[in-house]
Amino acid sequence: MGFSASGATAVIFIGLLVSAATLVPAVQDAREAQRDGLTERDDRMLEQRNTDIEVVDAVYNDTEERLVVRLDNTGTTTLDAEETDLLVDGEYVGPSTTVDGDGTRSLWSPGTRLVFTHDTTTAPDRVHVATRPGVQVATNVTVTGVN
Amino acid sequence: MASLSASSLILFIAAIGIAAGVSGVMVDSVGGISESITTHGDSVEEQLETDITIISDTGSDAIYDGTNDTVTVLVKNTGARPLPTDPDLVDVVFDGEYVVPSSTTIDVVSTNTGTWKEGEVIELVIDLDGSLATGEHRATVIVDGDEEVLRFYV
Repeated sequence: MGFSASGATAVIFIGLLVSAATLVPAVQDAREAQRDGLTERDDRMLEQRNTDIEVVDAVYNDTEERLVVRLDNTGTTTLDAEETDLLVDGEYVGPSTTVDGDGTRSLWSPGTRLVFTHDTTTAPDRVHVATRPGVQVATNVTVTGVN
Repeated sequence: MASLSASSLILFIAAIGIAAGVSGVMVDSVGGISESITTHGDSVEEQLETDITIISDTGSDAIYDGTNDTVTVLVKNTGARPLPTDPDLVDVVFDGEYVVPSSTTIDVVSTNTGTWKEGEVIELVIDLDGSLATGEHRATVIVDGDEEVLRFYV
């Protein structure tokens, strides 16, 4: 009887060990995944808080039929011109961009100026700009060159 | 003496059998729980990495198209992972009513690649049953657990 109890206890103990060996890595992996996600989200929120942009002006030249929007990066985050979106009268457009006068540059560093140039035959009323971290600005368009 | 040994052997086999059964069930159950915990951890990580932002200009007239009775919402992927563009996987609630996937179309407008990667913008067009009444309206977009609300006036 004593031997039976010992044997059964040993078998259950082995089962407990196998269960623990399965459960512990799974819990560790899940906690690690959650921690990674939280860290990533915190980084994103910090980036968003450190992002700030200002519209210098948005001018439509009626003669050239060209809209030029100038923006300054006044935050501390380096943005990407390709990931900065321009909406003209609420419509998504794909303008050409220059950063500090360089058309091949995409990195919009703090203190530099991004210029959007968009050709359109109708004078827009309003532009809206959205950055990668989700910071957005909008302004009315000034029309010049009217005959 | 022989009968005592035989009964002890039977009891021993029974005890080991029951213990093995209990252990087997326990290992199997814990295996299932472990799998669930791993799946849940991955799901939580995905949700934390998912972030969308509605960038539609509510100050413009581009949201509601009264001619075609459509509402257009521009949504930017501001998270850290690519998101699905299948209307079945992007839930839309308009003025408190669920919009069936067949009434929505999704296009990635920032690139021609067709995938909604990090930083890319989609154009979500909601085909309404009829025209919108003058007043305040509300569109909610839900992707992988992240929810964004657009409030606009027509």
